Amino acid sequence: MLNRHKVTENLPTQAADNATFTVVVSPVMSSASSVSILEADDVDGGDPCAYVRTQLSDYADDELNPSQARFVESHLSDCPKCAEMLNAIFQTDDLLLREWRDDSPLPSSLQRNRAIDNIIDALPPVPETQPIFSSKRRHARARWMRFSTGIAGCAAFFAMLYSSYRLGYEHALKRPYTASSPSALLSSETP
Amino acid sequence: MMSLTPTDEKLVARTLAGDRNAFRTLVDRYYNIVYRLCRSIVRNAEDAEDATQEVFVRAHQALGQYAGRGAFGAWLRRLTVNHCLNRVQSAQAKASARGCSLELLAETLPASHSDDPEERLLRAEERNRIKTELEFLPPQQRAALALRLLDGLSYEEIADLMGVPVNSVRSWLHRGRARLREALQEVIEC
Repeated sequence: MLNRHKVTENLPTQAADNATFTVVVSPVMSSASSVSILEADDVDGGDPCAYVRTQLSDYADDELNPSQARFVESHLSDCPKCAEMLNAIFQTDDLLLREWRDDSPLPSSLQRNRAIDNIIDALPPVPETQPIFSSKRRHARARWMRFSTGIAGCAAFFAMLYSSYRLGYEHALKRPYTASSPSALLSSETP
Repeated sequence: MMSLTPTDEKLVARTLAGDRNAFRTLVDRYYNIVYRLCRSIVRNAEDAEDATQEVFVRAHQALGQYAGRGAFGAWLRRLTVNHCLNRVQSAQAKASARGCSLELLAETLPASHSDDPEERLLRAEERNRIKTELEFLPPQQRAALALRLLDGLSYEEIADLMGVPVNSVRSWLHRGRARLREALQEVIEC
């Protein structure tokens, strides 16, 4: 579940908007990770408040890297306005959760069962399963298509070759006798 | 110890073989999750019930495409989010902006949290305000917030589920919260 904590405790009494921000790194922290430490000067325009406010949503969701999280935590302990903004984020989240979870209850078991019956009744008698080709199967299918196209091409080529041969042969039979005519040669060889 | 409860994958396989009871078990298992997700994205409870039913019917039709890739729950959530976003977008194209009427206010009164009528009215106003602001929130931001807050999914999981980069999820959550925080300043006790 979400990690929720309020940052109202141990806040300084005076706002520190214009203070120079540095990240205090404890020995434990520095030895715990090798992530480079984010300095206040590294942030855009040198305005830590503006930078931290863009990171608060990610911080609330534990989605910052350790270096960024340490920087935000350090800033929050010095800046009541940013800490207040983080609390506002948590409160907004709580309001949303209350609206979605508590104030919008789930249907009763009777309504739920009726809804499930309606779903089952709305289904077709047999699931509409579409044929699925796995990558290997799809590959085999493409290979077969290529192979069959090749075979068809070869068959067409040989058919054309044969038909041209037949045409030429019949044409030669119709021609008058010449020495070079294949039919004449054939007939001369026969007794 | 061996578990007697069939896994989602086994139930899917049995459904594909024509076993309707297997699909019924799946619906029973995921009904609340799908309903809550629908409820957070669509306008009201009736729409959420309709959307839930449509999601399960669509899931049954598309079950052949699932084919055991990843967790069934994640696949179903993805289907739910996509279906609800489409539904909301088509509804937004049709519907005009709704005003805050007394009837609407009465409709939002909680069942019986408090006997004090003044407190109930205040609470109803607060809820009405939240509902109105949620309706104005872009559906993608609402869906991302619901997946984060209701299901506790990480940014990466939400991005995977919605088919968008992680930075889009980050941006939606940041903007959604900022917008709600500004709009609900009076409700938030700071």
